[in-house]
Amino acid sequence: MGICSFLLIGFHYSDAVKGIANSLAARKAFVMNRIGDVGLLFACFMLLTTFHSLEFDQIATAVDSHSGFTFSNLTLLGITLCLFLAATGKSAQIPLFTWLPDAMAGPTPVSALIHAATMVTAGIYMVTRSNFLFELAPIAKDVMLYIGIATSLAAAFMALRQNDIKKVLAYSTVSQLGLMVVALGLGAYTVAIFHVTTHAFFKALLFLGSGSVIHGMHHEQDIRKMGGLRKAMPITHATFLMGTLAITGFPLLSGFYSKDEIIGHLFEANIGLYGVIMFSVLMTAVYMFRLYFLTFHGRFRGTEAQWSHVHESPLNMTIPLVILSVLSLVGGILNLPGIFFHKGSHWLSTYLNKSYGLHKIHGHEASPNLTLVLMIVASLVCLGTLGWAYQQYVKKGSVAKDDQDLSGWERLSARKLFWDEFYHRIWVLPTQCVGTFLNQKLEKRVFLAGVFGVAQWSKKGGEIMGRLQNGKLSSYLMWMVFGLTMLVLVFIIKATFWN
Amino acid sequence: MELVLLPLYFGLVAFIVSPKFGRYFILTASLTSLGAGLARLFSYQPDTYQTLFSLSKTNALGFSMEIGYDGLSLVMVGLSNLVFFLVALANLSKEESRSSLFNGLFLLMQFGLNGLFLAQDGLLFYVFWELALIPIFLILYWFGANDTQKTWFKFFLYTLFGSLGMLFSLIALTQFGFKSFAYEHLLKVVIPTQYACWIMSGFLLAFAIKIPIFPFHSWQANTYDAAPMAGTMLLSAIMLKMALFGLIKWMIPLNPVGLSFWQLPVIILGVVGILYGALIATRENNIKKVFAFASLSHLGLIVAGIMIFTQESLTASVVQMVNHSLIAIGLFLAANRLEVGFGSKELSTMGGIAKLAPTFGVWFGIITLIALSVPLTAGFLGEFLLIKSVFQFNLWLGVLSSLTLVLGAVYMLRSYQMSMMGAPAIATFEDLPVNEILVYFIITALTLFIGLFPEFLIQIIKPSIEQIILHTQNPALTIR
Repeated sequence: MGICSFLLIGFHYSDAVKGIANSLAARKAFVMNRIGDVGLLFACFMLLTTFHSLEFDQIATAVDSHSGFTFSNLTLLGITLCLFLAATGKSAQIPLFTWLPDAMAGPTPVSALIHAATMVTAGIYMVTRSNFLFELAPIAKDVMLYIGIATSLAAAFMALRQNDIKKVLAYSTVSQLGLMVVALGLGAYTVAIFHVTTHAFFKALLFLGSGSVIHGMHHEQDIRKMGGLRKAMPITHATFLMGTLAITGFPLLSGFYSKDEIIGHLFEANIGLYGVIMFSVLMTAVYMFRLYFLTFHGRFRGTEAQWSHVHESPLNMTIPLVILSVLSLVGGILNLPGIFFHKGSHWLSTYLNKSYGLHKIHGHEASPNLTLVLMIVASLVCLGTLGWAYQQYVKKGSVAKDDQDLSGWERLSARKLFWDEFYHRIWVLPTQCVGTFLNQKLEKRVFLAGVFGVAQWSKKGGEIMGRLQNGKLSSYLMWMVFGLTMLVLVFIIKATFWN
Repeated sequence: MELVLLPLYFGLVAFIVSPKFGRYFILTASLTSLGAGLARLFSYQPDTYQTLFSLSKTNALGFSMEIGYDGLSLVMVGLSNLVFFLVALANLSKEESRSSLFNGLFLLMQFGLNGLFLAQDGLLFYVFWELALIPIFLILYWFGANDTQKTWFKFFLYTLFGSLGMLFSLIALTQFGFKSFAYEHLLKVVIPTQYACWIMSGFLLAFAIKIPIFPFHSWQANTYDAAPMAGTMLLSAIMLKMALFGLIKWMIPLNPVGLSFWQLPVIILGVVGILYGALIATRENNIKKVFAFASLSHLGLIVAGIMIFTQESLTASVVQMVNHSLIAIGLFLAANRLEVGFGSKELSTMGGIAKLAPTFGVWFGIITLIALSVPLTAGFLGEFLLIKSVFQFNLWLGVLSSLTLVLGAVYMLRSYQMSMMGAPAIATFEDLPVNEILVYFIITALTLFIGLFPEFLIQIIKPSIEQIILHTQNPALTIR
């Protein structure tokens, strides 16, 4: 997957303007994922040394039975943390998430397929598969919980002031993946998979929708230059609205159920963290409605020429949108909570619980009243934001500001908390400095000069020795006498002091 | 016997073959040798030893002249023949292949290398060791870049200086035992503990310079840079394998006691070499030097694997040796095409070739990925097991050596993208000729084959490695 990702992100490699930037994004994605791979590699090594196997079921049996294998909690912690490092690479979590927004350099269908729906969820899947290890390493679960919350918050914040339609969706993906990791950290593995599924529906829909917009706008991705597109692109508009509502948790849409389950679990585990994650949910609603209204409502902000060319995309682009929007609408029935019909609820969780390790983790269900209350709170957040955004962007007609007008926090958001700059300072620059130092200084001044030095010395030595061979009998005689004297001296000293 | 005599015969004939047919002759000759090697390889029964030639008893000097092979030697000879064939194929369109002098030296070098891998006698090993050096020195001297004669003398003297250490150690070994250089006699030598460290140092000096192990690498980058394409390929793909082979087959089994002195220092130097080479490769601008330092980095890991000296690490080292030979040919072939196309080796002057020469773009990309040891290739298997061995030897060295994965991605992708992507920096660029496509294809097919079916290779080398390890644990056991 890393290779596919690399090749597809770098697809537009020969673009005269952005070719190099696209290639750099591809390389960044590959290298970041490689760091995660190192984690996976070490997890494999530790598993091999501890359990002599890499098969999921054999390790699971070994962990369960404790027979014949001795392993400490520390080993398990090491294994699970290394596995999680791999997951942060693939599933774009802090500290390795920075490649995903840049990966938007790839073609939009690629973003929809692997950078939203499938590949990035590989980390979530891998952790779910290894649940039996994580269950024995509570510290690793806590690490996941907090990393998930931090990622969800940070990415949602960064998405608030992005102006590239795909970048907003990319940060949104990171933020949603953070939510899934929260679920993993809570031990609610099936819930995480449920959110993976619904997220795949609505995020693929949103990405393809954005692709349709970009296509209609002739490769314009900046939402500052869009607006009012709902008239020109009705199908794209309707389906994009469906995706937006689903991701913001509009009542009874797919995202509503899956998000609600994660939030419910979090509420039971820690009310304080529930508050924090609700803030992230609120921000999600804010940036998604901002994106939606700025793109499809208000007046058109591009050039006249652009407006005359805006058109609805052909059927082969709109039919997938319709299918995905239906799935986004009804995807929630996969895992309905028990408050509506008890029979047939939690179909997905029940199904998944049959797989290895998960059957031991009894998914408990929150009381119906609590579920209802939480659902109402979440709905209010979504609807409230919708109302506010409508007021802000449609009634007042606010538009995205230009870069130089941004206030302090907006600049932080637009520049993604200066995260890339930070990594550049602490990783890239030092490595480059060391590399340059080794190449320019150490290699040339020490190693090359060293060998030449030795050669020069032996040459000098040869010259000095050669001078002795000067053909003068008197000089030979002098050296002979000198040598003899030294020999005699040595013998005398030896006889005097070593006896 | 044909494994040694064929290249010698062809080599001598090559000097008198008309230059007009020279390149076809050299191709046929190396293909014949390859065929002979493959015939031996496919008819080989694992876990057997085959004598090819032997004096019935050692002569007055202790010289037994024995030539033969076990699994390990056979794989190395096979690799040598393969490398010579691939280099001859890659070199087909180059000017050098029209010179009888070049062709003769080329095949004589093969003679030296095959003899070295088959030698079952210490003195013979030494003789072939020096014999292989002379043709490559002359190739570099006569066909290398202009005004670089000083570089060649440095290279020659440096490696010669190292070999001297090995000669001393070999002579010292005979003094403690049977006054014989025969491998089986040398194995039985009981070295007094106080000399073990010194005897190993002598071997180590020779091998460390040739491989090269950090900090003996200073000859490498400049030599690779100034050598003609075939010379660079031969140096990196097969010359340095003789030293790695020497570590496995000669240095350690003859002197297991010495390993306890040198194991940790050499492993640390290997890991330092991994990082040192990789870090420089991420900043170097000359594409041939990038690959030279990448080679230093890869070899650091192999050396560490050999010195860890377990069944797994040795097997992985041999797999990775084969893999590295194939990659080296591919990378230097690509570097040469870029150099010829741009008239410069500087990465900063390159760009956009993938649009102009799509076939080259694809094949260079594939070789880049193979060099990155992506899953399913031999490199993935080799690196996985090697890093695992280092990890089991020492946690922190393992962590450091795993950085090769990350830094490797940086320098390989950097050199690929800087040369192939972006807007074209040149108007026209000649795409691949058929012979080069064939070279890339063979390399790709073989690395995939070894990656998918490693058992084929491993079942041949495993018994040899098992015996070597058993011998080091209990020197009373002989190998074979």
